[in-house]
Amino acid sequence: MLTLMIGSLLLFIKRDPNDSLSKRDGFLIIALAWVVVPLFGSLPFLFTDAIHNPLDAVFESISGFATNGLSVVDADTSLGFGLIFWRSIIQWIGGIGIIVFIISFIPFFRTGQAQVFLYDMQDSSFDKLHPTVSGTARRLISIYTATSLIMFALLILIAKMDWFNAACYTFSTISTGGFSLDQGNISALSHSSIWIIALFMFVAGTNLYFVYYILKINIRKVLDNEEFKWYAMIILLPVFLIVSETFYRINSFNFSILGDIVFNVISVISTTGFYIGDAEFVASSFWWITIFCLMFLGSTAASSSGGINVYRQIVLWRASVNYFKSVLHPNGIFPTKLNGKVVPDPMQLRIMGFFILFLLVFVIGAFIISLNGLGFQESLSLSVCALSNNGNAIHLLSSAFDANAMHWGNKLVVMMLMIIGRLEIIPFMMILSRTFWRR
Amino acid sequence: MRMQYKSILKVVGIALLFEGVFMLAGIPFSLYFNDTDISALLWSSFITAIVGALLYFSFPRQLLSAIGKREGYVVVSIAWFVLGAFGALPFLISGSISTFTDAFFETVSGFSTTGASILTNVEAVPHGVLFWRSMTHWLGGLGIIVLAIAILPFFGFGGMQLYAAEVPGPSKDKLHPRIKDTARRLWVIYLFLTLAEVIMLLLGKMSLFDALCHSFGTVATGGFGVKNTSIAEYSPYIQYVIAFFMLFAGTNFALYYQVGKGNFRKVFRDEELRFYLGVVIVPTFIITALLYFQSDFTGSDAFRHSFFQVVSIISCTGFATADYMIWPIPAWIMIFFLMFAGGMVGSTSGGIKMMRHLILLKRIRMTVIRILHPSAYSPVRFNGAPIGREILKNIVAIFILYILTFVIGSATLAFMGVGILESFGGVATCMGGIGPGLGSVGPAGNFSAIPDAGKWVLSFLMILGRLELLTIFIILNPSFWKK
Repeated sequence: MLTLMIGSLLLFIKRDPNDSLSKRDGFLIIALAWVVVPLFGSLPFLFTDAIHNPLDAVFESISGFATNGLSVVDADTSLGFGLIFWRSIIQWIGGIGIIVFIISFIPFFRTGQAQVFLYDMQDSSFDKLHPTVSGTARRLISIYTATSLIMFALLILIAKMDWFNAACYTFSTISTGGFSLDQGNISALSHSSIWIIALFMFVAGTNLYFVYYILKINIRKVLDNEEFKWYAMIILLPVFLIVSETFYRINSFNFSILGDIVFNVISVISTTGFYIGDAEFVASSFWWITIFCLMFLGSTAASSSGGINVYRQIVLWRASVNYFKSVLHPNGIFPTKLNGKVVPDPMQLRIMGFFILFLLVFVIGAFIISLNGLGFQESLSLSVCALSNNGNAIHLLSSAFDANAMHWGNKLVVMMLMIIGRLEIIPFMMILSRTFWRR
Repeated sequence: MRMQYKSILKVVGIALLFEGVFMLAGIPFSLYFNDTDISALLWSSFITAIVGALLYFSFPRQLLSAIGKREGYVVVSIAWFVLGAFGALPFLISGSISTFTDAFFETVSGFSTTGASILTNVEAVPHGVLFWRSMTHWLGGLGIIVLAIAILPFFGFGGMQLYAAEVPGPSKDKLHPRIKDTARRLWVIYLFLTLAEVIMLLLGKMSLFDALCHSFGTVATGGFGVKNTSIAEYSPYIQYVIAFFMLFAGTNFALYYQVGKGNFRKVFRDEELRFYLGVVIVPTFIITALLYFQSDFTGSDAFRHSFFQVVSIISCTGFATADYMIWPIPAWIMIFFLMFAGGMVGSTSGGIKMMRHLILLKRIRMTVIRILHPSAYSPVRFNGAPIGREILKNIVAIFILYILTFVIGSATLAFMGVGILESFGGVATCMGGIGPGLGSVGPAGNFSAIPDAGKWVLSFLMILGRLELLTIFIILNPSFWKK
């Protein structure tokens, strides 16, 4: 059964016309692909009758491909091993899929002075891994696979996990997805497993190019990179703040809580979604607000994480700071730089545009979700978890959340948010704008 | 150029003198109602005026014209703290408020026309002091209008630069002389609006005291009322009157100037006005639907409450006719998000302001179009005129800073133990100068339970929001003070 489904899926992909297309068609393809492919991906669930409701099956499939991690399955043990494996692997495919899509489409859109949002990614920490696009894509896929293999090996050797679970967690982590047997809660795993997962969540959130350099033992290049430093900081700073607040509040120090905090923060920033839940977090509004805000951030570009992305955060921050400086010193010139290169104005404005669109979609999403009966905290956290593709991290904010119990309307909204967030919103704005359909 | 500290002090002195005089305004009401706060008011006024006079008369007259850009920043920023500190005296001396933290909060809430209150029982406050409370709104609004239209654009903020051609604004060199002209015109409009509302309210059988206080609160888009239930107990007629005047107060005063000159077409074509009205109308209908279908309001009640609340939040006034926390959740989630809207530029509203949102949205649309048609060059236009890079950068910077400040502010309050709703709602409402927040600092509650450190943070945020964020950050930057 399963192989039949995979077969038809691959057939579909091969049928994709890859000859010269206009930009418009390109965007349409991306948008359609991300809807149609998951539709096919949902078939295994339906055919094996594990999920009865077609909406739920599609939801699960989209959640996988978008590397979200939210699951609407009742009790995961009702899914056979085959399906659990299928679920894990579609995350893995989705994770590398988005990266390869983006890389492949950059030169495709680069016609002269084409100002495309994808173009922005090129200007961040990307050096060329290979002179041709397909070469770069192949390199990326091999890095991705290599990292996965390393994690798989470590899980089996060090954490003594069985190969099935090791595979599933590897797929889930490297793709920053977050599907797990207990709706994302992995407290039950052994300590070594948890630490390996934490490490690889961090790696998965890093630029794949960095992994390449690490593997080539060129660590200097990685450590000097601004995005990496910023990425490390947005993990360390919140950890520090949360640790301070937690220990100040519960008046004692505890290494395991420290570990939990580190794990959860890495998970949220890499938008994976695994969590280790514990009572002392739930009591704190500081915890809630901090984690909630972290969900918007996301990690580096060219990783499978969602959110706003580190390079945008850096540019937005520096642009604002430079504006102040220019007010104080009207005759000074303060160009905004990233990794030493000046960020051109149009790109800055595009980044700003993305930020605002992200917030706008979030706001509208949260409002619509609340119409179906969810409270303030639940609506807001569900909206951002869907958009940033954090997924199961929502349990860090609403411990009683049960994805399966969602109203069908909300499931639809969440599915849309997942896709919109995965595609970085712009393709959807394209489709919604009238100019797109003219001519 | 060296910082002209003496000029700064002189200007602060003037401000204090005026403040001291206005403190006496409530005395007739104290006499009428036989309240016990007359001596408190007299003493507060005396102390404030003496300090003001000392500062003013100690320095020679010429110093006034030495106020340049940098001195202007400082004056505008510290004025709030100084006026706030002295303005707290009537509350403290009369015993209506017991701690300085609370009194300062209330006063700053007044001058910044926020309207957030730490009072648990407004009706127990003697009339003279209560009148002073509303007076702080009115005076704050006066100052803010001049700030928004005349002063801030001179420094490059505020968005009013786009109207520079229409309103007689300050010329690039001397701050001092032109400001007077513009200010005078604005105050006429402000006074007119206040009077008009007072009359309309009196016609609605409101007492003179109530009418004055509420008008002060409306035209300044403040929100301090005289009842614990804000506006809930008044008649529908009064509620509609206040709603419409809130709408007027949130409108760009430059447009009133244009109306006065007879340029009606220009006014109706104003893009910001249309956007403003649109942002009022759409949520009104959505919330009306929510109230009608998901709650047990009648159609007309649903509309009235919805309209009132939406206008109140968008204009950043903060009056309430109902406790929206008991409305269907989507309704107050929408209200929460609307707290980030802000009224029109050139009004007494706070927040990010309509014009900025409008321009940002236009720019995003342009970005999307450009992706498909890269050669399509058309700059974003506002009312026909293209928007320069500088203004776009200003808008972007303010927006990002606003969000960042909101996040850090909420996290800070949460660190002190304040709940999620109260942190988010409290910070959003204080930054925007609105008044009611969420949860226990919502329209049915007050800010008394917030820890003292939190009250100081919120007071600071109120001033920050009022000064469009940038001014304070500039002053906090050490290189500002060099040379």
